[in-house]
Amino acid sequence: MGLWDILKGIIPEKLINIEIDNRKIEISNSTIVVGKQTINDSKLVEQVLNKLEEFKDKESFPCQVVHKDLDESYSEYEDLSLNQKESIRQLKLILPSEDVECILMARRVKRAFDKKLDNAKELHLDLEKQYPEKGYKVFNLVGGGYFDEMILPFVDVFKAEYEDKYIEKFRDFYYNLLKFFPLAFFVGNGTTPEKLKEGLLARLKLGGVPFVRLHAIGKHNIEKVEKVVSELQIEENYITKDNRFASPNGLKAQIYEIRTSEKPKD
Amino acid sequence: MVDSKELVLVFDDSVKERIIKSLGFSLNEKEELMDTRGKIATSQDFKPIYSKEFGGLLRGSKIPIRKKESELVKYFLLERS
Repeated sequence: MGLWDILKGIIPEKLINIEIDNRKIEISNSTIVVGKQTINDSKLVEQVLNKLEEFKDKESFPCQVVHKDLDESYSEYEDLSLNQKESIRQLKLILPSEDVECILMARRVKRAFDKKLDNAKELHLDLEKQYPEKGYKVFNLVGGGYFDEMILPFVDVFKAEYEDKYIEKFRDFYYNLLKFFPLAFFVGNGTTPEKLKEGLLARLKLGGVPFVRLHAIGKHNIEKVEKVVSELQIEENYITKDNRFASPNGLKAQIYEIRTSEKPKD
Repeated sequence: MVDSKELVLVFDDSVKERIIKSLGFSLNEKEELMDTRGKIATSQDFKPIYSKEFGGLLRGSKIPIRKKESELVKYFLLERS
């Protein structure tokens, strides 16, 4: 039995069936709001709450009960759960729940910025407060589009490469990304060779860092890495490690590591 | 696994105490939520929930939540994904 079923006979049925958002009812001590319709009647409020109370000893309530302050967040997370079901399912299989929670919160923050919501900055601060070590890094990965475009595809790549050990390998990969966050550069479809060159040179100039890693997914992006590495004569001047992967469906990936200590001259 | 949107009853502070009662909880002298057996009701972190923190009750878990994003996230990952 749903919320509307129990409210039949209390709220006029014409209000239940009108065009508006029929999955939400807002209640205060004297009003009930259904879509754009407001009913000012404290007795009606009491009747609704009495109906709700009838469910307190049952296995579950006929609806979600959410404080107004959480209403927008609830809708956002519900949308995320529906729209990113497959990605969340995949993440739950490979990462501990705390990491998945952090990623989901970061996605929520990204949506708030995309929608230019007033509370976007506040949500961003909440994320950093909740996850002081990694919140802002995860947000940058998610917000920049790297997470879905560049990181998640590595799950399939590692599955093919490492079989039973792919979860462990993916976790190593992901935690290293977070640990050495400024040292990673993602080469995606929107990365031009010029941008890659600029980003790589900036990282190589950083003092006291052991390496820089370029992450590329897809043949075209790997070719960009090859081109820039050749133009900058990276292999002549640095010790490098070129890890290439391929998934069974033909997806190619590359993690190109450049040790920042210069190569000894022959 | 969530497949469709759920029906939601949204409440504000003016009706909060009545909602708490309707859901089968009461408040003790410290304003902590108590269940029907008189035990302190807790959220997923096993800590008491004060009246001012009360964010509602979600289907499935039947565990009250605080007005915190992180508690919603946990719910959606545990119960609806």
